[in-house]
Amino acid sequence: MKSIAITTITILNLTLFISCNHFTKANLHSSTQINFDSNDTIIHGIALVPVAAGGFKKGLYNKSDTLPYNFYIGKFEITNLQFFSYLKQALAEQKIKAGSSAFYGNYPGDSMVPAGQYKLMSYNNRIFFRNNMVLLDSTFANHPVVAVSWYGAISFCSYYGFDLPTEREWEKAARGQTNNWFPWGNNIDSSYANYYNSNDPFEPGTTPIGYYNGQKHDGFATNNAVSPYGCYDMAGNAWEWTKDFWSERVPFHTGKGGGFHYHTPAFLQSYYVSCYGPISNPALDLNDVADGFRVVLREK
Amino acid sequence: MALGWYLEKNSMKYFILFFLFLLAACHRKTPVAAQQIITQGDTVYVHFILKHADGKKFDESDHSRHQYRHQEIYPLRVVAGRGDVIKGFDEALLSGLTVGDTLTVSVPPAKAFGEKGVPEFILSNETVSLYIQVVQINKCNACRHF
Repeated sequence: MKSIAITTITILNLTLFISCNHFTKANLHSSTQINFDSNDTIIHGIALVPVAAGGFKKGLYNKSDTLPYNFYIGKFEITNLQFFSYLKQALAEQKIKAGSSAFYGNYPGDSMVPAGQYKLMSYNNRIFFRNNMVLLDSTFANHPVVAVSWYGAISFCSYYGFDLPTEREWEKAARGQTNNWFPWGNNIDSSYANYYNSNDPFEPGTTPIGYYNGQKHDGFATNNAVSPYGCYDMAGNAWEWTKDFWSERVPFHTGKGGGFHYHTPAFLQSYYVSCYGPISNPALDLNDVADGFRVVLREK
Repeated sequence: MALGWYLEKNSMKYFILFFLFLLAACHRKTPVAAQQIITQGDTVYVHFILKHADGKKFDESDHSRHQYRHQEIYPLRVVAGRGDVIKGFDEALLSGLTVGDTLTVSVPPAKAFGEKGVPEFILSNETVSLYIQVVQINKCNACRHF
C-alpha cells in the first residue's frame, strides 16, 4: 500500500514540476531539502506520521485523555508548493474561483456556519493570480503556506481526502504522554522554533518546513524540535487551524502552536489554544498572515 | 513557669491579648511574602489582556474560554525573565508582584512590538496596554529553564 502511495506521489510531483515552468533549479534544490524519511507515509505528496490509538496528556495541567483510534498526521505544515498545486488543479476543475484579490470556494455549511462562498486565501507575495494563472514564488516553495482561511484549509483537506486535526488530535501528536511544554521539552530559544523576533535567517517570515531539525543551516544552528511522534514545526512557524469551533455558540475555529509573526514563546506551548472570534469578531473567513495548517487522516 | 506566673497575676483577657501579640509577631517574622514575589526563573501563571492604543483588545488569556465553552480557565504559563513574552510583560512580572496581584501598565514600543510593529496587527511604534493578574507562582528551584 505504502509503495503504491509513494509511486503515486512521485508521479504527482513529477507532473507538478513539469507543469510549473516558472520553477527554477534553485527551487528544485530547495525542495529536495525537505526532511522526508523512508519510513514516512506519503499521500498526495504529503508526508504523514502514524499516531497510535491511546492515551496522551492534555491542557495546562497535564490531564490524561485518550483517543480510541489510530490516525496519521502531517509530519510538516502544508507548504506553498502543495497548496499551489491544489489551487491549480481545483481552478482547472472549476471547483474554486479566482477573484480580484483572493481565491474563493463553496463551503457546504455545518451546524453553525451557513453554506456559501468563502474566501480561501488572499493573494500574497508567495501565491497570487495574474494573467489568468496561479503563480508561486519558488523561493518559498517549501515554506508553510500562510494567509489561508479555515475554509481554505478545509477545502484543501477535502480535495485530497484529508481532514483538519481536532485540538485533541493535534495535542496528542505534539506531546504524546509527556508533560512537556513544547513538543521537544521545556526549554525554548531561537534554535528551537520560529516565533516573533526569534532572529532566524528568515526573520520576520516563515522558515522552511522542518528547518529546526538539529542541523546547521548556513551557520544558523538549530535543535531537533521534533514531537514524540515525529512532527516538525508544531511550535511556531505557521499558526495551525484545527477542526474545532471555539464553542457551540461561537462559529470561529481554533488554532494551535503559535505563529511566526506575533507570538512570543509562551504562546507556542502545546496546551495553548487561540482563536480570533471571541475577541474581535472578524469575518468568518479571516486569513491572517501566519495562518496555515497540517492535515490528518483517520483510520476508518 | 512564666506562663503559670502570668496566669496567676493577670486575668484571662490579658492572656488572650498576649497570645494574639505572639501570633502577630510570628506572622510578621515568617518570610512568606518575600518567597511569593516573582523573581527571575519562576514559573508564573497569569491572566492577561493586551489592548491597542485605542483601547481595543487584541489578545487575552483564556478568560473567554470559560465563558463560552465551560471548560477550565487556562492562564498563560510563563517563565519570568526568560523572554517568553514581550519585554514589557516580563518587566511587569518582575516588578514585585505576588499571587492575587493585578497590574495595568502602558508598554512603550521598545518593550512591546518595536518600531516596525506587526504587519496587519500592531501599528508601528504602538504603545500597548497590558493588564495582568497573577494566579500562581512556582518558585524556581534549580532554574533549569536558564
